[in-house]
Amino acid sequence: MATITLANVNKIYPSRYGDVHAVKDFNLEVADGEFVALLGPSGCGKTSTLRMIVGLENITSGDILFDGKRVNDLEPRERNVAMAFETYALYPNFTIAENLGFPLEVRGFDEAERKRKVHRIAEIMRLDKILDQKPPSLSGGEQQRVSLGRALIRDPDVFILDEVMSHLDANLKFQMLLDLKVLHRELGKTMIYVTHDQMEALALADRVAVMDHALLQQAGTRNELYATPANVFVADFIGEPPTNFFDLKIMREGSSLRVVNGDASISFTPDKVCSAKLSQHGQDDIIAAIRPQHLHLANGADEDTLSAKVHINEYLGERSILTLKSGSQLFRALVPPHTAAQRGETVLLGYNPQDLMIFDKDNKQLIA
Amino acid sequence: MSTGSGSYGAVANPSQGVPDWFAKRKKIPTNLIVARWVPVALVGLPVLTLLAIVIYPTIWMFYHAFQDTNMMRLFQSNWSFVGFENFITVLSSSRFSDSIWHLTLYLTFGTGLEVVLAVILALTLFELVQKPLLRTLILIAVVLPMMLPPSIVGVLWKFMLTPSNGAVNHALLSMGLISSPVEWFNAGVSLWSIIIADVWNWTALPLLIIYSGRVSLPPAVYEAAKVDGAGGWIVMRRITLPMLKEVIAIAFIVRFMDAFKFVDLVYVMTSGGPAQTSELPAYIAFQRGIREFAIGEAAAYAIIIFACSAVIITLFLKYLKKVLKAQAIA
Repeated sequence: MATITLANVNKIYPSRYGDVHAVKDFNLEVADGEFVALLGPSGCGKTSTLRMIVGLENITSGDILFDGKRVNDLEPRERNVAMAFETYALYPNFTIAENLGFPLEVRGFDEAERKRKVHRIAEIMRLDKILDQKPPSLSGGEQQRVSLGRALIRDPDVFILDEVMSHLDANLKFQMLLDLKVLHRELGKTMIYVTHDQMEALALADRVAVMDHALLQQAGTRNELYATPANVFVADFIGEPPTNFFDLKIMREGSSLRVVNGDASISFTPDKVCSAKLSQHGQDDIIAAIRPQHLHLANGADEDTLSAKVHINEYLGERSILTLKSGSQLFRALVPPHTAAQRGETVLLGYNPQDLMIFDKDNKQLIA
Repeated sequence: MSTGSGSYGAVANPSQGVPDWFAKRKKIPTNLIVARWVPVALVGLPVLTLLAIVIYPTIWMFYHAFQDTNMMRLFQSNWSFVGFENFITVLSSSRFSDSIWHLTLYLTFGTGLEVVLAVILALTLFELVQKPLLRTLILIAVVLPMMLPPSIVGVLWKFMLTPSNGAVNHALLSMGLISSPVEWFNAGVSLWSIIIADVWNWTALPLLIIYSGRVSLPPAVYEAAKVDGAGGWIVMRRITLPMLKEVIAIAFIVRFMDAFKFVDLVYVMTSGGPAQTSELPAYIAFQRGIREFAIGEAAAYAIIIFACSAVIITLFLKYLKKVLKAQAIA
């Protein structure tokens, strides 16, 4: 059982072509038993962060604390963390049983105890039929289960999972998501999960920490990330299909306020809270964002609407994505399947003003 | 046209879509005869060379192993068929059985030591030396002896091992390890002198093979072991060495095959002496054929050596294949 605290953690890789600042002033607190996902695009520093937590990488500056105890200078084995690797990293010359038992063998458990634990883990991970085989003959999913089993077997305080699903196909991925979720619920251990796939992160984690360009952009529950993204990057990265962004200007009409584009073809009316904040904003140029999920075909009851021409209508089975065009601006709306909207047809879209997100044009931070 | 000579003027603007330097390159004139015969010559000449220096002599050797050929009869062209007489002479001679014993010693303490040393040095180098430049420098230094021609190595070690004032005896005496000079080229010692020189000369080859094998092992496995809590010694014994098993076996096979054709150092350092106590099978084949003119017997020697090494190496490869199959690599 452990809480993990990262305080001003920095990682700088020296290189011949100048230092690479891979992680900048990273601050995060992971509660005991919490499942936190580190999410970000490739090269954002999430794996470096993770490797520092495990102890495979030196910390350039800052502190990592387990239960308030500084672990910067401890070896991985002294931190009592277990890790599952993206490439599985199984010992190719060991059988599955030996692979699972290796952490116990190293710790000097006797043969009988080892055997008992290996069989229990093999049962949990559904590996009991392949205990005598060697890793190269297993499928990716089986290898990953062995890797997880090997991490589980020695009852560590913290689980670190590094992109464990990136090599699995879609079906296996769903199975694995379920397995992991159940494991976490049953074990109640602190888990940190690194991924570049928002679906995995949102499905699994209690809290998601979004990283980009070596910086922690936002850490929060999926609702927080979804409804109040801290900046344009988070708003863009979280959500599928991607969020619509509009470069708009604030138009003040007496007491009310609207955000519109140059030729007034796109215009949104923010809600009261947002309007109040915008009216105090020093600058007129802003970025407005609304998710495709929050745009629907207007049904007459809507107060605020937006008209646009249908550009593409993609039917995806359980839903359709309309790509719409207004002036030169393209944006998307998620609509029910079988929506009969032909290319070129003009449609009226409704939205709830609360769903509108407004960002500062310069520093890209959320205003309201 | 299928011979590839018809590219002239076939494309309206050949400079289109190709880099500038390519369009402006000097064009080599071709014609049908060149286009047709160049491939034949390119393949044919090496094949002819191979026929002349490998296949013909091999057939010649097999033929004369069953004749009573010696240098005199060869020039007079009047040798005759003697069946297996040459083989019987060779197999029943004590010179041959002695040389097999010498070969066994050489394989165990020469080849074997080379591979063991290579494993130790390669893994130490990999684990302890992290700076790339230093690594390269050390590798170059280690590989240098291998770059020297064996004849030079032989002369070098003959000098160093000279009993009266050689460098080795001098060093051992001044360190107080021996009280009187070691007679490095006496009966019973001379074979060991050859082995020492050979280990110095050839350890680098298995070292390079094993070092490159270690470099290519997946780093993630080592990180997993680190997280699992395995210390350096356990990692070495349970992970590194088993994963390098095949590479070490291959390094051994390469040196093992060399042992069966090992002539140069023996010839330069001791000429098999004194009293034939440092002769190895390949050296006797050379000695009997080239210096004692018994060509038929030398051919028989060569065939016996060939058969022995072929059998042993086939068994070895079979074992290797089984190991690889068990790991589902091959």
